[in-house]
Amino acid sequence: MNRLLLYRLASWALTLLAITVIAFLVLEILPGDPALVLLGPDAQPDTLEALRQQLGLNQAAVVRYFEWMSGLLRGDMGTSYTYSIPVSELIGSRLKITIPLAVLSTAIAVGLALVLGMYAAARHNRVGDYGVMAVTQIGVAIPSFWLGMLLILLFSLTLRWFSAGGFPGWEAGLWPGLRALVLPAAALAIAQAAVLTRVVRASVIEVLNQDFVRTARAKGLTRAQALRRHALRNALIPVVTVIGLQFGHLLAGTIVIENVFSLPGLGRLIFQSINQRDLMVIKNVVVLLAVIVITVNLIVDLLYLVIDPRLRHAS
Amino acid sequence: MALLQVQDISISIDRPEGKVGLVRDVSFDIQPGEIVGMLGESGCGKSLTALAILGLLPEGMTATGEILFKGANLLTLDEPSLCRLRGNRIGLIFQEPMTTLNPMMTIGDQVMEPLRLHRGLGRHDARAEALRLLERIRLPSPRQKFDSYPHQLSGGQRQRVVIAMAIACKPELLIADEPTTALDTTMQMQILDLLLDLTDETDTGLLLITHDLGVMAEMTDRILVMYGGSIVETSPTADLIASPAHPYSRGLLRAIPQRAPGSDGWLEPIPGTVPAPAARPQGCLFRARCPIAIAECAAHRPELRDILPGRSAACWVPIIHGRTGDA
Amino acid sequence: MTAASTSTASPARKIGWLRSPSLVAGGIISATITSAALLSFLWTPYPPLAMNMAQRFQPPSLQHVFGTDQFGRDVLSLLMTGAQSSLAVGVVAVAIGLVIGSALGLIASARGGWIDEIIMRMCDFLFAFPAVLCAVMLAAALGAGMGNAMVAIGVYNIPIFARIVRGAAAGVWVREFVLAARTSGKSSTHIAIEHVLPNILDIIVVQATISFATAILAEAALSYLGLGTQPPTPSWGRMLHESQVFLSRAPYLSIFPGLTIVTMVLGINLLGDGLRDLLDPRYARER
Repeated sequence: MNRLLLYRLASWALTLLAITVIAFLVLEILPGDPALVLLGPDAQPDTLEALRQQLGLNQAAVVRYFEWMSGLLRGDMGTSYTYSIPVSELIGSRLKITIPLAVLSTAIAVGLALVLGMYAAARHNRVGDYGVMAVTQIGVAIPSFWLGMLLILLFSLTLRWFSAGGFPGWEAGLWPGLRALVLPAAALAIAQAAVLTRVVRASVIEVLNQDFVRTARAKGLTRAQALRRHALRNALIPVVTVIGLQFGHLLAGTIVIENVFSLPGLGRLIFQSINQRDLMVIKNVVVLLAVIVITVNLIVDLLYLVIDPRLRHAS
Repeated sequence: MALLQVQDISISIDRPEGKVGLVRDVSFDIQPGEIVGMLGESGCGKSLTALAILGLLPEGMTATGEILFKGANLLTLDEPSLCRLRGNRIGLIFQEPMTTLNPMMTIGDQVMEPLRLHRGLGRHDARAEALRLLERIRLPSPRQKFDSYPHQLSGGQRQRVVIAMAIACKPELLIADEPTTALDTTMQMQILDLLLDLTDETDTGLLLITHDLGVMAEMTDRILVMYGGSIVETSPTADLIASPAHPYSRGLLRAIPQRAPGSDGWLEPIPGTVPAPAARPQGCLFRARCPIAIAECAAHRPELRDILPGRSAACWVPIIHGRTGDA
Repeated sequence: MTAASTSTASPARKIGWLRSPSLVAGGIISATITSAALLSFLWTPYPPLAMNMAQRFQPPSLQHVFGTDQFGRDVLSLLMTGAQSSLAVGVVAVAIGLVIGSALGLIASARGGWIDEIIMRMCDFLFAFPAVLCAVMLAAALGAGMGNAMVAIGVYNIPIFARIVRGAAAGVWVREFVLAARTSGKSSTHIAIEHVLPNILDIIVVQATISFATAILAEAALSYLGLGTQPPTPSWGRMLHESQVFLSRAPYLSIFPGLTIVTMVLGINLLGDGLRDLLDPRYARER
């Protein structure tokens, strides 16, 4: 196996371990007594003690950590304090909204960025280029949740094309489900698209100036053919990197945007769990989100191997 | 009819401060099967002239004049027609084999590209033809290399692949821009031999651009000497080597040991530098570096004119049969 | 390609600071909003928290330029006071990220080897926790609040500064004057502060502006979620949260705070772009 690949897998596993430790430390050690957090400051001592017993809080932190870990390995995330159902079940049902939302949003962002970025690169230093760059400046300055509110104002309240929030459930069918995700995904996508557009533009401009593009033109390819067959694939590498790096922001963004649109996804779950002090849910969701982020970054690194033959053969 | 007729080509670039001329009134022609060398220091406009022939000047540069390829003016030809010529009837070989190949594409895909584009070959036929080409340019173990990426090949092998791409559609005209500069000496000779063989076989006209006079002497039938964006001398190769007419040509010859008549074998670099395109003085551009300049050289720029049958030079006092004087 | 065509690449243009429109525009916007925030300590058109039930949901008018909210409070006064929270969180968060991150980056570049490796792995690790996720954890552990928002956004900025400083400093450590200082027996800490830091200050300043803009966006998002600035202190994000219920009834309540955030972030980003062009002409040509 490729050494680079092995190294990446090892560092992924190590980061994963560190994430669980940090989440455990921050959520279960720092604040002191989860039972107190859960019941509030006015709780009776004997009620507190009973809850501590029930949650296994009287055991040493190390023991509790390993119990949590061995549970995770078995796919057991414990039981939610507030919902009284297994956390894994809870998360599973919420992921059905958050993952499609994140994927749809990424798709919108990448699509927009490729079109705008390539257009700007083709019109480098001309009016069209400046126009696109100005739009991206505004794009990165707009808070996604405010954009979401504007979209609701325009498309739900005024034009009545989409509902202002909520989710009908996938049982209602694919289209009603997607319809409920379009506005939140768009709101989430704009900032990502703005950042990506700049990356695509810079990357395409750089690649278009390289000798092999001129070679392609000398072979008789038209400008568009040379861009498509030769420049795009090469320009894609920094774009893929940024998509990977941005994915963390996107996922964190779902916490905000799901609240704007009242979507019962992972982000709304974690937000509600904070208000209900459901530590069991919070620590598992935090770990899950962080794991998704580092896994996406791992996938990006593996994608390089697919895209760039130079890396594939370097071992 | 000449294969290629370049007439009064001038190339300029748009700058914020106005148009700056880079190449001025360059004219020459190439017959089928003829090998013409273009000689000059870097920056004299050789590569730009080559790019102008293919209509591939960088953005912001424009060319005026006439470039007739088999009678058709390439400068007024529309883009689709130019695309049909490029890589098909006119092949171009660039100097840097490290960067002229796409690092993300296999050798085979890159060689097949012109075949599929211009000759409409399917994948299967293109593959067979590309393998024949790779054999013809004597790439070792072509079948294995076919699916390799450029970084897995040596510099010489890469340059062979670049040549294979350029000759894939049996072009009538081949332009080679410093095809051997990046290679070591043994590899240089192999690549040049290969080019000679290929042009011989197919009666292809070759425009060979280099600043290496040694290469010129071995390969070419006729030499164009460029200086500061213009042609300063054009002579049959043997004549130029024996008795260069322009003082700049003589300087170039002197810069090479053994060949220069009357030199003691030491390298004599021409003193001074080429004036920058934006700061070209009145009169002859070579004046400041010329050992035999006269008053006239400062006042007027000499035009290219015939000095002997088949030879011309842009000099007020060309050296004829080893002596200076008005022609 | 020959020199005739390479010479066509335009030389890095020197940009006089008045000739950089983004610097001027960004400076004016940032200065205006900062002044408004400072002014709000002394004066606002109306007392920002004074409720006036007779004046609820007044659309923008001469009396209330940006209208009034559901409690009859003057939106302009709230926005001016809210700028205090935004700027405070931005300044503290960037300070946390800048100081700790730059220190880590300097140490990593100075020591190299396994120390460098450990610091950089830690940074990779921190990247797995976007600011909002960080804030969510802190809010769950310590309760929601402005301070936690500052820490969360600050922690998020640490790896960003660490990487940039490490990259930039690496080039400085091998320069002659640093080597000279080394041979004269000065300690690494001394050299880092005296010689390396001043040479990468421009890069740090530019990153600080960019981070400041993202910090303001993050603060707004956290306050919108109720995890940032707590009531009754006015904040832009919470104003937007409260306005959402009245979106169809009083859209201006959502529009003005949002526009304020966009303008502020745009202004700081423009300032950052301008500063980068001014401080480092190498970057002036592209981007």
